[in-house]
Amino acid sequence: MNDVQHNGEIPPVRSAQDLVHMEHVSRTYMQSGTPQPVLDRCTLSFAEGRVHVLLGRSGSGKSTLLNLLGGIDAADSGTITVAGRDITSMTESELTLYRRRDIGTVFQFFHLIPTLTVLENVTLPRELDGADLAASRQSALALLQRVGLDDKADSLPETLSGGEQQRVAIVRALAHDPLLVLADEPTGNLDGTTGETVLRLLLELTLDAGKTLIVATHSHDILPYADHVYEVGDGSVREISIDEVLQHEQELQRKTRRKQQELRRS
Amino acid sequence: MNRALLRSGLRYHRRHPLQAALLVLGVALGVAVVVGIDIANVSADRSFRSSTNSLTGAATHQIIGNAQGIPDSVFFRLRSEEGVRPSAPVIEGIVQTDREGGRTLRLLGIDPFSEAPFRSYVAEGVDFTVLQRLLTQPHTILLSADLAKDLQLNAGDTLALTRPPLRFAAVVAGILQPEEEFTRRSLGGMLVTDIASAQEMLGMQGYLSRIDLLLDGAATHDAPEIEAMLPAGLLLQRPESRSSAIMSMTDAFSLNLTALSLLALIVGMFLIYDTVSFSVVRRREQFGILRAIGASRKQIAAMVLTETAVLATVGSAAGLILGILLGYGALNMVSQTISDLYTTMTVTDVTVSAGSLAKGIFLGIGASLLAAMAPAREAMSSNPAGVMRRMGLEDRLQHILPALTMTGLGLLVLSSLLLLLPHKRVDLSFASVLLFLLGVSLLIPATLRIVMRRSLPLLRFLFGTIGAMAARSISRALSRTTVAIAALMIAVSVIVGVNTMIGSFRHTVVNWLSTTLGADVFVTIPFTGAGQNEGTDVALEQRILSHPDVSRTATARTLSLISDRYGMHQLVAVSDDIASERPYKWTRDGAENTWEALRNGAVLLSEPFAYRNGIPAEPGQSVSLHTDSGLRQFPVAGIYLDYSSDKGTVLIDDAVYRRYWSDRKISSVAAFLHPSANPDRVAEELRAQLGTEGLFVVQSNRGLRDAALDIFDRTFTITIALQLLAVIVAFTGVFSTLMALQLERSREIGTLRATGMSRSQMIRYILTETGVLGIWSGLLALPVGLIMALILIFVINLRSFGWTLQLHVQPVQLLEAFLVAVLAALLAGLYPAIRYGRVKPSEALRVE
Repeated sequence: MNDVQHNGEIPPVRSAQDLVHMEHVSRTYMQSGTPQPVLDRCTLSFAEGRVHVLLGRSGSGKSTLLNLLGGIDAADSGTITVAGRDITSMTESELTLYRRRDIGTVFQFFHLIPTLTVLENVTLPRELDGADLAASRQSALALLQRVGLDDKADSLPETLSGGEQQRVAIVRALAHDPLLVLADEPTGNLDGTTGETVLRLLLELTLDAGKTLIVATHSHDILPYADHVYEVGDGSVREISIDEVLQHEQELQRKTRRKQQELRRS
Repeated sequence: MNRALLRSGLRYHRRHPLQAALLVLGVALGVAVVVGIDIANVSADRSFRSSTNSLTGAATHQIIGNAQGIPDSVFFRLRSEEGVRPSAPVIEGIVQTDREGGRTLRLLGIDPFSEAPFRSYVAEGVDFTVLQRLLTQPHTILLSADLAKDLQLNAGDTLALTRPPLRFAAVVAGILQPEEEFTRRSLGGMLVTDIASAQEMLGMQGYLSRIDLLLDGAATHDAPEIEAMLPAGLLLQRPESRSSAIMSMTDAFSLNLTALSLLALIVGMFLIYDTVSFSVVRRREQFGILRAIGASRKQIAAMVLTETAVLATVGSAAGLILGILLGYGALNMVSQTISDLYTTMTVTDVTVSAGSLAKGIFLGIGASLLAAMAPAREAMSSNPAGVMRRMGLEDRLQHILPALTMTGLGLLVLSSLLLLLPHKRVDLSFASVLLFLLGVSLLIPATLRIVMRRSLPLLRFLFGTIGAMAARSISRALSRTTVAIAALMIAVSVIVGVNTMIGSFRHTVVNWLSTTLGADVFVTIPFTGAGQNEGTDVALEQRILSHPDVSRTATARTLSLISDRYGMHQLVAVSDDIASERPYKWTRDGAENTWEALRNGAVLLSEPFAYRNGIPAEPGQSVSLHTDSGLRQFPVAGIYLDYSSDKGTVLIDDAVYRRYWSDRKISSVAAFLHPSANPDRVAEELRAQLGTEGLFVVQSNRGLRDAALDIFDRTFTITIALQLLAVIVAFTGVFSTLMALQLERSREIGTLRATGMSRSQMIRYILTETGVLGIWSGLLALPVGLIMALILIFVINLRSFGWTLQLHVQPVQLLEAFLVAVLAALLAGLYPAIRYGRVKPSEALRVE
């Protein structure tokens, strides 16, 4: 069923470098009756083909930002353009199509459909689009092979380990050749070693395909691979250098040691 | 429909087989009841046509007479002197065999030489020697191969036939082998003989039942010419008008059945709604993910609707099979009632028409999709990944509560308007019952919320924190508790409504019988089926009067008639009023002078007759009756209450009847005894005196009353059976709703168990909740059921049959219905309660 239609051709990207541009974007949630601004007139851009990392405490607005970019939440004000198209002015059906074709998402809790096999999960976005199944199956199997799960193609998700499920989710996010890959705490639910493998696969596959990746995380494992790092918090998003992050981390370590010593003395 | 989504949806149901089974069961039961009743109605209709219509064969017109039929001289004159052709004499009547438990058959007497244009199967179906035997040997019969097989007869065998007071041994002259399906079917309940034998066997020497004519272009005369030739008292009719008069009587009856069967389907819809919405609520997160990765709203809705349609198809198919079985049982009850009340049916074949099956499939799938509409919308509105404001079904329900309540009130108003509008439409009246039930159901969420808030302190007082928790959890899950209460409420209110209606009806009839049947002993000719006009000689009255304990007698002559003007009705000529105190609806000259008016040539109309023919209760009315000396007007002296027949009765004085009709027979004698006499003993003596041959039925007052109530109860057997089925469907719905309600809370239950709630506390918690739901459903069902009873009694019964009934409420029945509601709810809570009692907290806490 193909109920959502593209409206015309994609206009040229506004800046050759920027895939995503946000301007004065605000999002406020009501929390027990009082408005809580999560993003407050944020303006920033994400360059194409790069790895962007969003850092911040939980509740800082990382997920909100990803949801706005992924078209699953709507900004209260401001504009977000992705590949030159203003997604804030899209209708619900245009947004659906945007999610289906242009976005690949990796969730913290994998979110595979329990009643579909691994292969079916991966080909679902293409199938929802009414694409040729045989072709999408081929490319999906090739990707599954790269993450070492081609032998599990016909298994149901519940028979897979957490790491395996997240590998399937990564393949699902990429199999339909999206413009933008969003990952929300992709390793947050995995143990250290597994998390590392998953992260490596995510980066490998995204970069090989030349995709833009935006990862929200509070783990620093990804920092070596990041092209841009942003700090999200107090309603704003600010780009920071890796040095700043490391300085910040050292400061935190010093503080912790001082506190420990104080506690021992008293 | 997206195949991957459908696969995913169906796999979900494969993983939750209990839910899927409940949905399939709901559809299957609903469809089964509808299909079963439809099959019974269609079969009864076809059987009725087979029993009567095909007898007319190709005839376009019939000449009919009154009670005794047509003198056969009329036929000879028409045929030989006037040369009217094609024409054929016909005699028909009901006879009883000694086989198959005294099966009744139709005896058709014909003249083989005039038959060919009318019933070719008779003349062509057998060879000449057989026809010769039929003509020359007395009491020889032809019958179809099917019937011969049923009765285990071969050519040359004898068959004992009874038509009280007559008894004959008929000889099978030959077997008919009709090729055509319809003919084969009609002959399934019929014996064919020649005119002379039929006259003898039916006691109609010198008379014919009718003359068949074929007045098409090739005929020698046209209708007006024939009418001009007929002596006074004979009528030219089209055969269709006869059968349609009977059909219109049975229509109301079958409409009532259809309405009840639809009720079962509607109750089944609650079950479907519930199962589907449960499956949607459980998969909300999944739908969110699907939305996040690009499934459109329509794709999600289509997924829910398609998987429902697949399950509904399975359910409908099962329902068809069940329905066909049910149809066999229902047909017996329906045809029994039709035979008791309207016309003798000699053929009762089950016809499973493609129409009935298509109707079942269509209604099953249609109702399921309709019921799945709201849950599908709910699924559609799942937010991508479930991260945005989570405005669930409950929030939305709160949101639309005022609108829902207003709609409910609107439906109630609409329902009352439909009832109050001056019309005779029974289908509209049933529609208003439906709107009423729907309206009340829509008011449940709002009232439930208020009631729960008010009863919270009481529940806390009675059951402590657990009681308060139960009250709040009902209010919190309004979208589901409402459905449970509505389903249970409708089921119980149907019990209350239908039982109160039948109870009131019975009460009215019992009262009426006691005032109307004033005589002590009744002698009648045996009942061979409604619509039979057999009579006996007036000498019977003298024989009864000669018994020393009999002080006086009254006779009645009862004729079942069909006229163009009044349709199917009865003409009863009575020599005296046997009622101790006849209940009148209206009299022209006052009750005490009414019988005098009758002696002077006026008539009394029964209430159904007046209602059906729109004769107002005011002076100056008259009815036109076909007497043996032509059409005559009779003034109406009053309208009396009568529950013996919904066909409508015209009561006429015996002397007046004999003056205008040449009939000399009587149908029954009522005897009044001396005060000291014992009616049962007198009845016994009369029975011995009048012969042991079963020529007459002698009943004491009580015996006759019991017999009348027997027929009454038999008439309502199918109503009660249907009501039971609707209730079973409803209870299945309630069970599944309450179970689903509990099962979807496994996380909450896990938390409670982890926090230290004991098993017995858990059971108490769940049972308190379902018990409160049961109590509330029961409380609501009582007024709703009583209002339904009022509508059934004062609107639907009146519009269907023209009867005024007195409301008679039995408090014990109400109490029983209330207890049924509470018990059903408690039982439905028992399974989840026990299940959760066993579950370890850690398991219940695990995310499904």
